[in-house]
Amino acid sequence: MKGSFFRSMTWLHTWVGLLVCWLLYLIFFAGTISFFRDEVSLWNQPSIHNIEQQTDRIGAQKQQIISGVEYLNTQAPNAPNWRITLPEERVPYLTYGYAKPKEPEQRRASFENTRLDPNNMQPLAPFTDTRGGNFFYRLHFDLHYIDVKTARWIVCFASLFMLIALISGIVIHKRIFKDMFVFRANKGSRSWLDVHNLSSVFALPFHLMITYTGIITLIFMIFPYPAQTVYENGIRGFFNDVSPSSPVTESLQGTAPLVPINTVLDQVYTKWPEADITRVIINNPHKAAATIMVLVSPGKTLRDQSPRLIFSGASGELVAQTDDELTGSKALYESLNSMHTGRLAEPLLRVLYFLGGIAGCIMIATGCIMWAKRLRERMKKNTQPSWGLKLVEGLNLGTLMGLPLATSAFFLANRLLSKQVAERADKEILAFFLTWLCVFIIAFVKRDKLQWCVMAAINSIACFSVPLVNALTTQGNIISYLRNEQWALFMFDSLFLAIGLLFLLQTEKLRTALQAKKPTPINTQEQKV
Amino acid sequence: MQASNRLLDFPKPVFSMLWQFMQRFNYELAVLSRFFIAIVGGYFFTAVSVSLLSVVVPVSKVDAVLLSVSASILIYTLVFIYSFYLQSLKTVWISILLSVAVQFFILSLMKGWL
Amino acid sequence: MIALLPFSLCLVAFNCFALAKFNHFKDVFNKRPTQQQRLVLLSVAWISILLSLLLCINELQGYGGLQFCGYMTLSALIVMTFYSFLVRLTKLFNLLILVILAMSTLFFGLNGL
Repeated sequence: MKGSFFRSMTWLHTWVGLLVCWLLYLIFFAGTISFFRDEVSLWNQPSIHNIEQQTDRIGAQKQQIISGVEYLNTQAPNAPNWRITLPEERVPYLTYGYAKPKEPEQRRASFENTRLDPNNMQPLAPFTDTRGGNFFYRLHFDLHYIDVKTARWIVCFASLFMLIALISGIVIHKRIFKDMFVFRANKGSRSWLDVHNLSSVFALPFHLMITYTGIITLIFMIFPYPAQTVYENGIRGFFNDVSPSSPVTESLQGTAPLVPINTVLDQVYTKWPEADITRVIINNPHKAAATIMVLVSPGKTLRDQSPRLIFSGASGELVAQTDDELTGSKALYESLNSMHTGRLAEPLLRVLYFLGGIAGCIMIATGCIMWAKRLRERMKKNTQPSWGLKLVEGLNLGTLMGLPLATSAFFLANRLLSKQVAERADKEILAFFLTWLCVFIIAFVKRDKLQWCVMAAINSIACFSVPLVNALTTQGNIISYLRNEQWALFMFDSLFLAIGLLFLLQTEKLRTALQAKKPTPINTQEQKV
Repeated sequence: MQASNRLLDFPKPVFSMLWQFMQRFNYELAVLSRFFIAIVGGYFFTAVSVSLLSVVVPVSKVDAVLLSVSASILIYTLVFIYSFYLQSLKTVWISILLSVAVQFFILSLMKGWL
Repeated sequence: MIALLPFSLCLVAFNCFALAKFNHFKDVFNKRPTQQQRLVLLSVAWISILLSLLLCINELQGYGGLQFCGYMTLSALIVMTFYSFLVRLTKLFNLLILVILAMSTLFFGLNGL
């Protein structure tokens, strides 16, 4: 398009990046936090802070399931759906739930959940209404306040542009191996370019993988065509084929007593002796069409769909199951999905995923900043900045300083809002977006170095106040977390302190840069003379 | 005679205005056109090639769908880069439109829609 | 501890890739590398990284592949940090990773065999 391939890729990289960089920053920011969504949900829920780690988590599962079925049988024998969610490594509590009758407007029934401490089977204090880590998880692909489908289409195209930006970036960084570790400090936009290159290169496999697999997770929305071509009843037919189901059992009429859960569990443990059961779902208990679905954790295999066994609730026999051996195509699809969600990642790998995510945020942020700096450098002296430059600088300040502040606001709202407030979860989310809007308004008015300095200072204060407010409003604090070995909570508070420090460093750096620009009274006098 | 001439006169200023507009924004229109063929053309190319792939591959139905869907983004990316690789915009438009049509034709034949 | 061997191999590999460049070699050894030295460094780097990949996949197949990518990312970051920001500590860094490699090979030998 513009001379050589190299030049056209440079042009493409800049434009494709510019179109979506701020949205991508949001996606990467929220997505990176989502890798630790269980820990975030834990922090947001003080009633589960002090649950002890079970000594034999897997061994205790059988009894927990049996007690669960008994409990649900007494509480709601006529409910259409029972769900027992067992504690996991990162989710310490046990849930027994049953479906409440569906309201006319609802798409899915809501659940009445009883949450227990698995160590003593006592009910936990009532949960605060909060979305926790799930807010960030949903934010990074469903966005918010927009229709879900539209949001996902936008995110898909933004991710496609990200992939194009990555590939064009690789093409233009032909010195990728020569300059791999180069960083030139204090050279204006060149330094920003170096950081941009460094953060892209060292985590390049991660960036490519997470972007490609990210689109794959939503692939059936944007390309339902293969399923529609191959199956007569289109995508429905495909989904029925790909997940195990038992249409014969489900069409039976009449009632039948539910088999003792022991017979089902024995079959499960015969097939998978080391099974780490995650959930037991019983549909239509006490009917002939009853099914009992037992899902186990895929562990460290590259599978996203939990392996499961489906039994008839009336007869106790196995009627459907996930494949033991995956075909090549299934293995490919499952690997791609599991690589993105990272549910299989144990602590070390999860931290590495987080590191990759942060590298992605740095890459996008430096890209945004470089674009603004380049525009400003190209601006002729003594002219007003164009509206394009104002827009870019405004969006930069609003997004890069606004999102961290909004996140701190979300967590502060979680601790400060009273438990009785109606629609509390939505109000926490509102706090997030209102804070972000405020930063945008400031950026709309003025977006100089001074505003960056002030926002960095405010961010620093906000980050420091999160563990502080936590200590004031809950029973624990960062020191008690360390003493009691509550690592997730300790890491959460420490991370906020560390990030607060980083913002403090940024404030200092910007403050000295601002002071260096200011002419002192003596200098101006000399100039006059 | 004169009346019909006057009737024919009407579109001329509109056409010349349009022509002037296109010449003034020649570069911007070319950019938009290239992005359009990359995004929209790429989407349809991928849709049709991936559907064709799912029909052609000799594996079970589920596997065919999963395989095609996993490869779809790779194809889309390649077509996108291709749109910006070639110098001539005309060639890009023609090649993509033609290949989409051909693939759709083959797909229709294979599925018996024709 | 056994996991340390694939990671330290990755670290050594990226370090050798970095050393194979003129400016970074100069930072550590105070002279330019000869063509032969560069060749040796590059071969050691490639062998090291492939060995690391092999160990990861041998241990945990697909998950191991993911781990390998993670190790690569972390090693690249560490090497990058030293050669760009902590240039004076690069000599110490080189020594340190050799020690870590030796220790982890020992652990691997004692536990694996």
